[in-house]
Amino acid sequence: MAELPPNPRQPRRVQALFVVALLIPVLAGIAPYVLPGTPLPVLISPVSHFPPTSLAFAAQTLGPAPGPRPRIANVRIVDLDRDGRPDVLACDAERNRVIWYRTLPSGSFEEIPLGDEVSAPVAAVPVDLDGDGDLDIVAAVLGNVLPTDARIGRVVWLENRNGRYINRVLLDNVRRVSDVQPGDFDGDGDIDLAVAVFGYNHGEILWLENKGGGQFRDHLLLATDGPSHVPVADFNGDGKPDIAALVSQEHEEVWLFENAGKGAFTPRRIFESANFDLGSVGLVVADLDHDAKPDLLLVAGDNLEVNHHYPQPWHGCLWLRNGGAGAFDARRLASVGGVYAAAVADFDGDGDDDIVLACMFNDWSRPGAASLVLLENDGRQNFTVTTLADRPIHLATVAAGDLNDDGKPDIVAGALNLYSAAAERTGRLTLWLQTTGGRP
Amino acid sequence: MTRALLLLIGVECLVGGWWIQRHRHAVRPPLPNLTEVDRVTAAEFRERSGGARSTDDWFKLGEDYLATGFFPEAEACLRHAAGLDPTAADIAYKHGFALERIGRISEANAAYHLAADRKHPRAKDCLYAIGRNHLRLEDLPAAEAAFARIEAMPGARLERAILDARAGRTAEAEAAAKLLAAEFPTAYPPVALRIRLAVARGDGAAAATLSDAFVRRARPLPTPFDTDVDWILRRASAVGRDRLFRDAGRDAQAGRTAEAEAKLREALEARWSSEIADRLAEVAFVRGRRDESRRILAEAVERGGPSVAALWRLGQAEDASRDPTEAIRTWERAAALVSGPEGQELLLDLAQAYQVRGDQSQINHYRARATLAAGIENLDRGAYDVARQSLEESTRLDPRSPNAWFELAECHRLAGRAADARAAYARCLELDANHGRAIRARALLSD
Repeated sequence: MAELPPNPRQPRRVQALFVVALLIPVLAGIAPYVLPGTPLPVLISPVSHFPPTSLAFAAQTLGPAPGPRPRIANVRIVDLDRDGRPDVLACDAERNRVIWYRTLPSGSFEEIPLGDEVSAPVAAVPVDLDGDGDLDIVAAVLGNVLPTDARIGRVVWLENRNGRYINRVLLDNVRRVSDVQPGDFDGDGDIDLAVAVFGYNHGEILWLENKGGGQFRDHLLLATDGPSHVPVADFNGDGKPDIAALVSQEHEEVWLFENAGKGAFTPRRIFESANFDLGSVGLVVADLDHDAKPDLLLVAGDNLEVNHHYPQPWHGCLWLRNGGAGAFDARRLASVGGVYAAAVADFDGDGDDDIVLACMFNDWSRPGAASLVLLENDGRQNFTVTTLADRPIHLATVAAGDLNDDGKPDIVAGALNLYSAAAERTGRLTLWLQTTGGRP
Repeated sequence: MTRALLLLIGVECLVGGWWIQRHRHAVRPPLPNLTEVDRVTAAEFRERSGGARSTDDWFKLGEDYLATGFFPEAEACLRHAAGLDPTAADIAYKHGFALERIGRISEANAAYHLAADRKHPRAKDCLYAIGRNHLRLEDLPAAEAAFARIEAMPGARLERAILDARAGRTAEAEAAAKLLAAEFPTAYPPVALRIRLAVARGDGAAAATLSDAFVRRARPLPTPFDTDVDWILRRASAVGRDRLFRDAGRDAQAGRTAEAEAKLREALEARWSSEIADRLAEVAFVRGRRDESRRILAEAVERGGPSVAALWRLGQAEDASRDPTEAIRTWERAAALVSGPEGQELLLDLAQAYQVRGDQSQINHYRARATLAAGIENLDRGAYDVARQSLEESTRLDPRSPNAWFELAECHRLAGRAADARAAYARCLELDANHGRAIRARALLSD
């Protein structure tokens, strides 16, 4: 029998199989480097995301567009020129100015810097300090928003002289000043000032006695690190203004300096937390239960313990309810991450006070983390927590009031960016004009 | 041959299929949201998150996430590393630290306990962290128990004293705080506690004396947290854009200005910041490109705001560009912002600029301010002799400054020169009868 000729395709088939046999281990070898794998799950903050509010607001920018890191440290709604239209007063710690956004008849705003530059203003209070019938401004000047114990703080009076504001230094060579509030503490008919010197490692709570002619004498109430806010009200109902003081920096306390008359004060601690990491950062006077006794809202959200922040489960808003005769009891109203400021208004027009919270240190790396939160009151001081906005972020200050005279409270908030954020989430000053939900 | 190859291919497919399937479901490190991170740092993390294989890879990535603020991602990586090597004490410690950062306090304590059980070299620090975490949870008995186990540690002793005060054991709290204050004469926290105790018992005189002591003590008590902060900050400076900035600084110090400039430009391009712009302007200035330095600084003021430091440097650039009028204007703008110890060199530059113009009144004004600033800085540092020289000069140049006389009086008082102090307080109060600090401080002088 004749032999079959060799199959000409066989050598090529073997070659092909050989190549395949080589390729398979090569492909398997590079697979770990190209296959996506399964990302490890991460734990998410439980205090950053909330259902949206049912109330409607239209957001708009106030003032110029933000730079890379806007630093609005304080906002307030006040009719500065007493023309019947509420304006916005802002402390810009980037431009080093106190700025008046004057409401025009058209409803738009005119930007008017007041006085000369001051280094990192963080509170600006309108008050007729010299009793001449017009509103001056008294500013708390930090000197630097970044931590330092150096004596670079000031209290500066922007004296209103026929609409022109002149800077006059009332106190300097002290550590960073974080708050100043007016009150006639010695009952002599003129306006004195309560001052929080936050500093960093060292600080103090002072009151400045108005001696007339722009002269003030400083009195020490307490030497401590960490006083940040000194709201004034008649907390014990005796007709004399008292001074409450928030002290953070691991102390996490609220003090009450009860006015005993003629410039004397009795100090008492009305709140303290063993949680040195509470992050208390704001104290607001509000009669939340409408019992004619001023309460206090304490907001906590600071968390720059190392060099970066993260919202903590104990952040949020506490109500220090005034029970009368200077007795307070504390109740948590809401847990919200990174809260830095609060304002009170009846947003839904149902006759009770709601609360808006501004968040500076929420979980910004996850979309939808709330930057503005609404606590809606059911009338018995039980609050539903809702998200009003998730941008802009890094909100450090908030105020509420009817800006457009439609009978519904609006909101203005300022951002203080220690870090840069994406352009679409960066704001400087933002208005939220309420479009539904209020009743004239 | 064909059959052999087919058999081989079959085996390879089975093995390879198993191998690929295994890696399809392999765990990969989480990648944080990098959309708002500068591109240098973002690129670095993207690369590293794709390549974590060994326990060490996971651990180091976790540490770097921790240092750059990506705490949930750090916790995930360290959790995985701890799973890969459950016996590693340092992994347990860092995992506890990461859990603490995201508020998972009970779990953090469990991790710290594990680290201590694994004989971590900082086992006592673990107990301190556990105690502090119990405070976060407001579990005072548990905190007390944890601190009691490390009773020699100064931070733990202070916490126990605070707990004593809270529980009404004021005598114990006072004794412990007093002892700590004596052992750590530069530490202010024990004195802060003593002030509160004095206020609580209505002892105004003691509170006043202690308040004065409080101001003079510059430092916090040493705690284990200082060690943690140190390594975090060191680690953060070794990542991404911060590493560029750090290395640029080292290059500049070593005289390698070209390398420094290249790194700073890359860092600035990744994300603009006024701090990097300021450093770049300084390097440009040193390299003789003064106009460019001026331009960079002007942009820094425009984009980042008119800070004292930026304005001062801008004035220097303007002065070096032979524009002294503009330099004076810029420096005076900065001088209006400074207070306390700030801006000494700026104020001296102004004095020098007016020296060239021969304006003696302005020369004296700015020199007085500069020496006052220097005096305050040295006074607050406890360098009373050096402060004295500056403050005496300041009062000579501006004898009508009540603040200068006050600071000089403080200097005398703290150095033990009571008579000189009284004279200086008197002069201060002649100029400003309402100088409350002077009135209070004078009252502290013994008769």
